[in-house]
Amino acid sequence: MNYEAVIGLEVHAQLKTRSKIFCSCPNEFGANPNTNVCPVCLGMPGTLPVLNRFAVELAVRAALALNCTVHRESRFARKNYFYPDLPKGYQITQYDRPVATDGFVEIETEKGLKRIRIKRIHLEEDAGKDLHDISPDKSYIDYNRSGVPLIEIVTEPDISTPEEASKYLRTLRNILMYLDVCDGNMEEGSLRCDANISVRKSGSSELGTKTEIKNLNSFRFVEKALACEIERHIGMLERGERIEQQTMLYDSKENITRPMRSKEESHDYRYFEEPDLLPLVLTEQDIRTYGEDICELPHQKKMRYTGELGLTPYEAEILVQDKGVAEFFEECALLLKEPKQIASWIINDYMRELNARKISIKQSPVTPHKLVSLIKQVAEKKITLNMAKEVFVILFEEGGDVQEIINRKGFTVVNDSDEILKNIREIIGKHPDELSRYKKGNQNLIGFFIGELMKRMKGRIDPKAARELVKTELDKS
Amino acid sequence: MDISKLGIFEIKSLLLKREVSCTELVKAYIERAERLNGILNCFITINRESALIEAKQTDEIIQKNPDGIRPLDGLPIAIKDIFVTRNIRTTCGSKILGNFVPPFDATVVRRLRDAGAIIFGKLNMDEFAMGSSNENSYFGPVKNPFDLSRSPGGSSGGSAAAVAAGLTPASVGTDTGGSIRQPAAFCGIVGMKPSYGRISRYGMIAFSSSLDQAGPMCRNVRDCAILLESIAGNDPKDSTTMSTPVPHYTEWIVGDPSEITVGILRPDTYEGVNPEVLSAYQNVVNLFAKHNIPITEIELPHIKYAVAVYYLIATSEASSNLARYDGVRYGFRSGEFGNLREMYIKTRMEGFGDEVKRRIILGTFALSSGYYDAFFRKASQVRRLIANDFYKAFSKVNTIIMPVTPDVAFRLGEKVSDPLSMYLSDIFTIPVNLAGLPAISMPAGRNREGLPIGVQFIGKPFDEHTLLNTAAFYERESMCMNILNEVNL
Amino acid sequence: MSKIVVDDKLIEHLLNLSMLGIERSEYDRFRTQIQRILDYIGMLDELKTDDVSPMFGGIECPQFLRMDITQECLARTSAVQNAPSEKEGLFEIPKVIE
Repeated sequence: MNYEAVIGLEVHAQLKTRSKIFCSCPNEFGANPNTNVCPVCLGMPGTLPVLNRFAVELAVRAALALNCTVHRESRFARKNYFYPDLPKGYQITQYDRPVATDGFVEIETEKGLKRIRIKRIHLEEDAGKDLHDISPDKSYIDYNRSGVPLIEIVTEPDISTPEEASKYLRTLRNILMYLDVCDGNMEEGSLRCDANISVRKSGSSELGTKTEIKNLNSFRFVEKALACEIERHIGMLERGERIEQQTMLYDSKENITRPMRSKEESHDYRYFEEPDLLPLVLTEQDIRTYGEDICELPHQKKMRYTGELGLTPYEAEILVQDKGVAEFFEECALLLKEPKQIASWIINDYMRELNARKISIKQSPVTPHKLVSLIKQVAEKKITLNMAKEVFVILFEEGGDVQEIINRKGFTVVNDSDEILKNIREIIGKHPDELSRYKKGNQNLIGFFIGELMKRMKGRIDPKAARELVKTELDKS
Repeated sequence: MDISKLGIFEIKSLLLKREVSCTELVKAYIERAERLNGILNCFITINRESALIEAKQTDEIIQKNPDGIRPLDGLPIAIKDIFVTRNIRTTCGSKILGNFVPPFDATVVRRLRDAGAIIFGKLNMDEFAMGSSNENSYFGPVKNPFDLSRSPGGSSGGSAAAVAAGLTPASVGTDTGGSIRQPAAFCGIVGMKPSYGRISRYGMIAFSSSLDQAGPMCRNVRDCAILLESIAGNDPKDSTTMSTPVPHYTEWIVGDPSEITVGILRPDTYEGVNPEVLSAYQNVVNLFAKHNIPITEIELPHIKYAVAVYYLIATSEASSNLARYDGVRYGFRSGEFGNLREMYIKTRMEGFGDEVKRRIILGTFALSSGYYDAFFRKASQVRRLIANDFYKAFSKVNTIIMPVTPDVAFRLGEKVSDPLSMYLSDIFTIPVNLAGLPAISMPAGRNREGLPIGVQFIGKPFDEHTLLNTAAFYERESMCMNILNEVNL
Repeated sequence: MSKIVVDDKLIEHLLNLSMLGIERSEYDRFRTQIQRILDYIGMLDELKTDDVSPMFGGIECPQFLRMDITQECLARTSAVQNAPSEKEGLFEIPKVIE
């Protein structure tokens, strides 16, 4: 029997605002526990929420970039449940009137582009954090995260495989990072994912019973947890067992999904209109203004890179993975009309150095100007590629000026072919044995002669030119 | 010095004329409050130390700067214990907040302090403002100064009794379904519930967020205008306050009858109302008629549903507003529990009184899955009908006169076991909250037993100034405030 | 809406949702009182309100938006000063099981 999975994702993205959504405490990760709190985000009696304009702006920006309809009027609601990290006993969120609905994201699959529909995007507040590892019999709560602005992005159940799910998540994360809406840091919880999943017989139009897997906080976990859960569903269906609608957690150590232990009494959240906030009304002008800050998105860049700039899809894909890298590339490409060469430098050398140092391109000491002037030196045959790579590492390690390093290292290229030929002839003269073996057909020996030439000329020669000259000279001899 | 009959205006004059110092006044009020609290139980907290320090500072300010005196400089005032006060215990009449010392001030408190007032005490109230008799306070019932066997009304019962008995020159209370106007009526004082959105709710402990509104409780209309002027206005911390400018209310208390047009309901609306209350109401209407003020019969066909609507909306909002009292961050936590869930349940079971529990249960029901549409949403729709009734009436008149309550002050214990009948006693005050309107409760004489009877004037949204003019007119022509001369404690 | 019958099961359910407890001996009293109130509220059934837009707040105008600026937070000692149980600036509760 063949089965297919029906998957929908709910992604929570923390918004990159300065202050929290309903109060003026800083929205920052990593502060000392309970230092970024005030009466409002601690849910003290009598306190009231006041909505952050920039949180609204970022939500609208994301919604527009994700092709959603942004609603002129939306509302806040209270979602009521008890949990110690939830200081008011309810979460302020949006329920039946979210800020945006009906969008989509396109992901690349083996079968081409696939459209994942977005059902809704709504604004809400984050909860605090329970700390369980401090003591065996107590939990502790830090409310710094309480009131951090979130958007929840909910897809339609358009995803069919774990791979598609993780692809969607990568694509979405990248878009949100491009938009400067979210920093996308999954380790710090800036982007979190829950999945709804059901399994049915292939071709069936009826949906199976769905389960929810909570807290899938890396791309790998999304794939593995979904694969586990699909397998579990199929196993149960095969055995004729009934699938129970429940909330699961993924155990990465055991690579299994298991039901959450805390029995949530029921999922009756008793949503109702938040009386402390008025309807959120956006004018056409507001929406237009908030949309002005939408930059070129990764898939749009990719199209331009492969079209206009002639990069391969592989190169383009790598460059657009990180907005900083893409911007760096474009700056370079403005300075020097050699996109292929620049792309190659960035993908091979630059990213290797970044990874080795675990820094982002914005933190790198090598500016587009420096990289471009280095590439120019090679193009103009003033230094060799090998010299350039050496200079590049020095630029990374010590900083400094490209020309100054070249001068300091005494890097020059001998372009005078008479001088090169003179050297080649002398080498050939000193190695008659090698010459005769070469003549007898050992073509590999050309490398020996090039090596000798390089040694003799201290690498100050373009290897490609050297090879040609050596070959001609050997064949003449 | 006898302070028992002083209001805000008199105190301001005394201070200006240097006949008394702020320190002397604060001391006198604290001493009086301590002496009489055993009888009336108005105060939950008396804030002796810091009040005296503030008084001393105020005296110095007045000394140095006799002309630049702020509107309430040197005024000792006690307020309902629903407003959070920085470093002064704030209980909301509940065991669950019995030890809560807030790290911040409510906006009302901030404004009182900024105007120069000195908060020397926190007044008793029904737990979380849920009640009409003050018997739901964890700190015990307040007594009515007119008859110690009677309730002062609720939920701002401590405030009403304290103002009537001269334990504070004035007070600030809150009104969700009548909690300022009803105790004001039962205690013979002036109590005003302004329009929803007129005064910030920030730091005012929430009962029902879409209905709660703070307001002045005073010995006369002028004090009411002074106090309202000091605390009203837009607050960036409360999204539901209006930016409508705050008029200089003190300029509106001329009592000009030509500004007034009155609407009244058909007499059969008042079937079942105590005849003495009804005749007091009739006398008020007659007084207006005598001054040739136009009186029009109006209709409010939906107000008979108001209590039903109110007990769905208010309890729903309350069930959510009170979820934060879980024993985690502040307030009471039960001493015995095995796990987190038990901690929650026991904390809330031991920390809340019966009426609060009843309302949380009812509100939880009205919002729960399958019932939201038929209860909470339906109530919100009928609320619209009630509001529309009022708007229609206000196209013809600018003041509606109604009784405040169907009866005079209850005997203590009279209605404790019958919540519904207690709820029904709020039938005339609740519609005003549902529509978000301003209303002012004024004394309208006493019954045979000497108990005060109240009448209310209801106005258009944000038309408090017209209402104050009407009240000032009525106060002057009826001499109704003489009633407070009958309290001698 | 047909008449709601308030039984122990319903009370139990509502207590569960609202994390409340009442003594067993109090069930009867609570049940009867709440039944009476709901019976009274049943009067709303006689009104047809399908076309009426609900009124959810005391004023009806657009939400005011706050500028995204930070302000000083509470000192940590003030944040936890009212906590029933606290350790090194953290709120302490019984172990939470996920």
